[in-house]
Amino acid sequence: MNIVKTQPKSITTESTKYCPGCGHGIVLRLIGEVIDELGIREKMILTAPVGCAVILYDYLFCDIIECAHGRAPAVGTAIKRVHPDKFVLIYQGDGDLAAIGTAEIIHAANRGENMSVIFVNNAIYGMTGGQMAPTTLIGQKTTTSPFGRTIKGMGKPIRVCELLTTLEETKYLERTSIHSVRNINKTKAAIRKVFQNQLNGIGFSLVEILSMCPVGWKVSPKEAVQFIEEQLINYFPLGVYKDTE
Amino acid sequence: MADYNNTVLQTRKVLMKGNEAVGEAAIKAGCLCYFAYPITPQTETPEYLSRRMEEENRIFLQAESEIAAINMVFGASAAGARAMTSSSSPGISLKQEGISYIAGAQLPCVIINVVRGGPGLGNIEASQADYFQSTRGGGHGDYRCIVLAPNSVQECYDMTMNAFDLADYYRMPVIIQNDGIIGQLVESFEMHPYKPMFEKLPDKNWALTGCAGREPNVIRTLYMTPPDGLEQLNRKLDEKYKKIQAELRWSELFNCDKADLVIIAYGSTSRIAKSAIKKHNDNGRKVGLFRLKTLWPWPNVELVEIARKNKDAKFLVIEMSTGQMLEDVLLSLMDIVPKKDILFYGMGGGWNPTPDMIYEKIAEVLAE
Amino acid sequence: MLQTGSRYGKVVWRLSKNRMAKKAQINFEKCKGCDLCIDVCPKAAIHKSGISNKKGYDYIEIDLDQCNGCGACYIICPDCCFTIVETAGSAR
Repeated sequence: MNIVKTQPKSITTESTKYCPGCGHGIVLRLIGEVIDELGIREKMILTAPVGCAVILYDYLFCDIIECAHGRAPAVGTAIKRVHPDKFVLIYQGDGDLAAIGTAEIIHAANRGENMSVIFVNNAIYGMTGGQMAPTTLIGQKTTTSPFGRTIKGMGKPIRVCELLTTLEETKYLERTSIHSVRNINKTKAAIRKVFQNQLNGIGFSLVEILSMCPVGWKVSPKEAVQFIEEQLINYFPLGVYKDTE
Repeated sequence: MADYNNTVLQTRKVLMKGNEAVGEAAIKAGCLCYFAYPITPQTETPEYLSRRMEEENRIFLQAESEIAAINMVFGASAAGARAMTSSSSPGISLKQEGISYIAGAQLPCVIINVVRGGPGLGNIEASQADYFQSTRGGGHGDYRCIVLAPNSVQECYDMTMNAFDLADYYRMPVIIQNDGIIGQLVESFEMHPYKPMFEKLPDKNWALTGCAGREPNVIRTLYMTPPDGLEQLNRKLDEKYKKIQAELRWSELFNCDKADLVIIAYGSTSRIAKSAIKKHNDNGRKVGLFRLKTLWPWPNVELVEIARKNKDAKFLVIEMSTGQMLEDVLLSLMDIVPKKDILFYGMGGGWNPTPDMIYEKIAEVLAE
Repeated sequence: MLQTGSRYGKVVWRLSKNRMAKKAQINFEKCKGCDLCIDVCPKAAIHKSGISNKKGYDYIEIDLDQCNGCGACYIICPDCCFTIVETAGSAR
């Protein structure tokens, strides 16, 4: 009997603390697969966010720094400047990147730091119990928008890929999702592209991944998949927003 | 990596601004990364270093905010590099979370605070009202930073150089608590080559350099569950700080033998006071000066010794604040000197005394 | 015939011919019962077992007769519960 497919070596075999149906688990495996395929685990330094993925250091076997909320792009900038030959991965959620860390991501992107960013967008603050995020949809009910998000007073959700395309030093921006097998495969290709760009010295590359948060959205994992399919994708269109070689 | 060989192999006398001397000391001490943001009255430091770091092939980056700058220092330090940032009071307030992370992760770094009037936007005059902020943590949690207080351009240079060694040796942030006067002061001083403080510094085997040939390193401050609980980290930090309190108190005495009155001051206040004290000495009055060089650890032992040797002496704390260091003086002397003999002269909001003002105040105190 | 495949137990299935066949295996102790795999299986080979694992989740089991080892379950599973294996011949 031979093993055709088993989990990547760069990630833990233990169970994660992520909720049932959580997108972070899928992203973790995809990252592990790409790290294994590219053989970069030993030269990799990961800047971890505050949010559900704060515990990445228990799941991924590489050098890791736990950053203050929103500041991973600044921390990563410094690490990449000190060790330009190492691979720096920035991993952030929507609160980290699009709320408290807006300045840091915009300026790291604007400076064209040669780093790879994985932005897990689940339109909610998962870790703290399901509050509104900058990417929460209009009408979406959260614990801090109990009557549904309104444009008046709260503004519309922020489209990060679109926002960053205006910065000329960004080299690759793509939005994907992980709610179906086909889309997960596309996400893996995007992650690989974003990683490869750094290895080839291309420049700032980011993949925004629409992800499930069943517990935060107060739905079953199956319903969470539907929410992405029927609603999130309409507001956050999938696709490549920038690709410069 | 940058070439750390000294650019000046011999000592020479140089005329320079305090803010620039700080920068040059960092270069000499092998600072690889400097991240900053403009703010008066320290903007000369990023301006000076933007040129010098480039010349020495180091890493200079004007960050998007003071918050980004301290987080860049966090990253650079975690990666094993000597890193520094500078700012002034409102910017230092922004950095507090980052400093707490750096202290909690036991990373070395140097932070220059050129203190100005506060609170809020305040003004751009010199002040000493960030004493609590620097010596009592400033950010959240049980931690301390080593705080050095220069009072001349020479000390801006020497203490900044020492700061990198202290930071690496003790694995913690070191703050150079300057003030707007010292930062702006132009004086001649001896620019000497890098003088290491310690024979050997601990290995940075915890640094993030890619895990080839070893287990991965994790830099973290979140410890949710025992037995690797947060209490263990806090115990470790507490032991470290107690050790530093025992071995690193720096102070300077001037004319404290048989003094009737001892002035306690630091930074530019100590120099202004010294002029007034000397004038009183010339007129036969026994006035001395106890100058703080480390604000943390506080030189309590040295102060208590002065009080014991001068049993009836009065103490006059002079600060450019409404009374912050005063509390440390009261704490140190509380069982030794009657409270009525510990006096205060100062004001916040960018109040900068003249030698005459201090002279008058001393005369007033001596007359009572 | 519905049978359970387990990484820790004996794997038993019947094949129609002596040839290499790909099958999915489940590490049911890691399963969190999210059920995402059930809908993506093109052969409808995955069902709830109705039994709780040590964590208390109602884990899934695979109908190995139906399973063609396509790996869709492996791809969607957030917890790396699946392994796809290839084996030759009929095994008893």
